[in-house]
Amino acid sequence: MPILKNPNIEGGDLQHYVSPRKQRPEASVKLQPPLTPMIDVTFQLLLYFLLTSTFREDEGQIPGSLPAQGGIAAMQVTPLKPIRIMLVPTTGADGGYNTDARYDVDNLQPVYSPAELYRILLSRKQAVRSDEVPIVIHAPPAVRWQFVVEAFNAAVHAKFKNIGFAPTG
Amino acid sequence: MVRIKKKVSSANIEINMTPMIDCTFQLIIFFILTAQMASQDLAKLVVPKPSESMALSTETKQGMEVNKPNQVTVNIVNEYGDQKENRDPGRSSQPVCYKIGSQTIEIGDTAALLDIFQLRKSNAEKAGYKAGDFYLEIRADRDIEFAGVEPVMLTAAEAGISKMNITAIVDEKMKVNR
Repeated sequence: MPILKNPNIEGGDLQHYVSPRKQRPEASVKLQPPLTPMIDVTFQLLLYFLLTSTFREDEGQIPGSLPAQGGIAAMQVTPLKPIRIMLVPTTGADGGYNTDARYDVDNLQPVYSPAELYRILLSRKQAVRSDEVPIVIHAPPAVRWQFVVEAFNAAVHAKFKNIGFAPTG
Repeated sequence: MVRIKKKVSSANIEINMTPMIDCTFQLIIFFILTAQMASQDLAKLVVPKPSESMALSTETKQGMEVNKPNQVTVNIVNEYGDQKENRDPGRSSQPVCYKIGSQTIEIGDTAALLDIFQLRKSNAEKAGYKAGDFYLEIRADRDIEFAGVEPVMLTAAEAGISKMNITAIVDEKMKVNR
């Protein structure tokens, strides 16, 4: 029979001994770290990245070659007749001068798009059955770099090995 | 009849924050991984984007390996920088300067260009590269006139550089077809 606590009774304020094994378990306290500062910092980081990030297109290199001696016009001496691509600045669809370009292949076939130029170069390569045919790009000083790169890229796409530039001077 | 109003105990309404924090962390990781490091070698300009581009993507553009000892990258910039809009569509632009790493070279100063090319080439040879392995990388704005690019090619040829790469935007479709 348990002894009740009663201060009026002598010795009534004594606590009855309860063994630790029989003690009632204390209510489990929820330990939660404060999340607010972490969320604040996280949002700061997110905002920083959202505002500062710019999505750039992937850059790469179109491989080519420069003649070791004799300037740009000095092409490798081959018995094959070179294919000459003449770039002509033209008026674009928006009416502005030099906003587009025409590609004249050997002054015979004028083409207006790099895709057409590629097809012509490919057919020439198949006709001569050689990728050693020199390609000489004649770019006037005023033509935009974009169109020079288009012509160069079309020649690389057609898998010609010997591509160079004629001097403008 | 006495109505007994039930007292609604003020319950602690807690929003479950876990999914939101998860999403936020996912976004942060995405931005960290996709962010491209700004490199001193890459001046601000708009690179040409040829149709069916044959440009080969390299790891070097992501920042770390851009300063290869056997290459010299010449950035040819105009007044627009990397601004794509508000350009005058009716005229091609003149180059403002050449940039090689942190060095800025004035237009027409081909002697300075030649000195840099020769120095870089000799450094590459000292590092064990063959003379033929050294190459010039031309990174010019798409709207610059060819007259602004040609002197760089001529000077490189004068310095005995035989290889040249042209920087352009990579075509993802061509990566598969190549």
